[in-house]
Amino acid sequence: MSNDKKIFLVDGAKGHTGTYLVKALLEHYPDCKIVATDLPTDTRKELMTKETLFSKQLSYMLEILEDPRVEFIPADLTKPETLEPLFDGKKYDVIFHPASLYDYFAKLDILRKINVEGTRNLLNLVCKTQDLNRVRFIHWSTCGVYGEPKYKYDKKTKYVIPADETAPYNPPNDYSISKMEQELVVKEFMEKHGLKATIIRPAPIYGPHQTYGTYHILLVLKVMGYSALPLIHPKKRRLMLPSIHVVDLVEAAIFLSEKDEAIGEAYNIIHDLVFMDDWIEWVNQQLGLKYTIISVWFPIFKLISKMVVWIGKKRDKKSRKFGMRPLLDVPMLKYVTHQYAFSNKKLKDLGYKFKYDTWTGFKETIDWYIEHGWLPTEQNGMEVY
Amino acid sequence: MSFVEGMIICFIGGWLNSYLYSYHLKKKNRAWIFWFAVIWIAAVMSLDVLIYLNIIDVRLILLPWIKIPKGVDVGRYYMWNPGLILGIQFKSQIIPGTGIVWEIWALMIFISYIWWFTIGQNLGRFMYGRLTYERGVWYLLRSTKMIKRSKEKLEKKLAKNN
Repeated sequence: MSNDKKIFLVDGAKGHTGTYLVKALLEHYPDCKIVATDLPTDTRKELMTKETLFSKQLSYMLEILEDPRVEFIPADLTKPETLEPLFDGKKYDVIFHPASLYDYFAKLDILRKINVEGTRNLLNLVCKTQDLNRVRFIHWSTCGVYGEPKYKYDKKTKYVIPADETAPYNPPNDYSISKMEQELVVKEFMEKHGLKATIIRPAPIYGPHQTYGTYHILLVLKVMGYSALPLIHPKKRRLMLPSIHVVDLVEAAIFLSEKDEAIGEAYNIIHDLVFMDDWIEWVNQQLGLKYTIISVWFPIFKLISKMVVWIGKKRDKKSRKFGMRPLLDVPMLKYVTHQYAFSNKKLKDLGYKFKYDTWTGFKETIDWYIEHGWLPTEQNGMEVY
Repeated sequence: MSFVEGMIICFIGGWLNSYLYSYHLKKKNRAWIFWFAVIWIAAVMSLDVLIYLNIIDVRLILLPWIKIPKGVDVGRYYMWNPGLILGIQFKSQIIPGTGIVWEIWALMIFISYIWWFTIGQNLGRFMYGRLTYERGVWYLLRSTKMIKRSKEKLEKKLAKNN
């Protein structure tokens, strides 16, 4: 632990990652000062419909923002004038930029406005007001910017070799497109202004308090109570599960902010990969569900996956027509039907040691959800529509 | 009913039991799932046994154009030939014999009613869930309209409780 009197800016501080980041910074730097920012409450509620899809009672660790070392200033990335108070007379050591509209249901124009133009607005002010020799900028992107890369296969094991940070951009959905464009904006500022930025590309995030993405999958599985698990043949085609525990994500971000070698680099933040079928079977066991394992030939699996995604798209369209959200967004269906395998070697080579692996991380998360009544049980009487 | 129809009705009964349990009964009394099963199987089995033993004269409920061959045991003939009650008469018919083997087969089929009910119930559970909070595979298969209706209903209920 360091006692440096550092000053940090954390945007998206009312979000899942943001709250964990603030908590971790306070633990790492007890004497630090954090300027935390996010949208004003009403605007945020209106925008973040994903967070209250299944229950209006789910909430993040907002109490962390009441710590005396944290100063909360509401701001909107799309309105540059609201960002100015964040920089009034303040010289930051590190600016963490997890703020984004992470919503697969959102339209591309809104995603661009918030994620791409918002980042540009923020960086304009950073370059105008900050000492660029001092300030580090940690930018949150996503592994989704790679899409489903062309993989190589290990000659010995025959399994897929995870793609590293050199894989080309191939974003498969609107959210990932906006994140790719956002990365390009950051790179532009790095080149033009010499901004000391590091790009982190997290895999799908999970962890206690999370209300979207992996949580939706766990909730739907729990409510269904029964699932059929495909076991792909030949085995070399088995899918991998990309995931990252929120604690490891924020720890890795802080770790990278301390390393000069990370300046100008991009890092995948992802657990060591596990097989999707092993994981789904294990999750079913943890949730106390009944399941049947069905062996499927890979081409048949691909065909069924395409059908599932096609049905998902139809439902998405129909839901929009009815003015509501579908239970699962299409990219969530793609998590479990496409091969997303990415490497964490670059981060590990730099010296980062993960606190969790997929099993310990998910075990803790599922137990937390059950304990706090975020997943239905016979006892808690939680109802979903 | 014939044996085949008895098995189908037991299967449907099992399925219905899971459906009712999931959407209605469990909220009131979870023991109802047991009593529903007992009553349903007992009713179908009793009716069929009575027909088989000619205690209920099946000709009273048969459609007039159904021909029953002369010299056969009406109840047993009816039980071994499916479709008669629906007016379907297949070309090849089963004329049950009088030996003990026929009776043992009949007994086994009667007992299998419980199994057919269980199969229907298990498939129903897969479809609608087995525990009080579970909704089964139907949860994902529902139409968007149904999801919307369900959401509005739940929101109304929560608002009322608050």
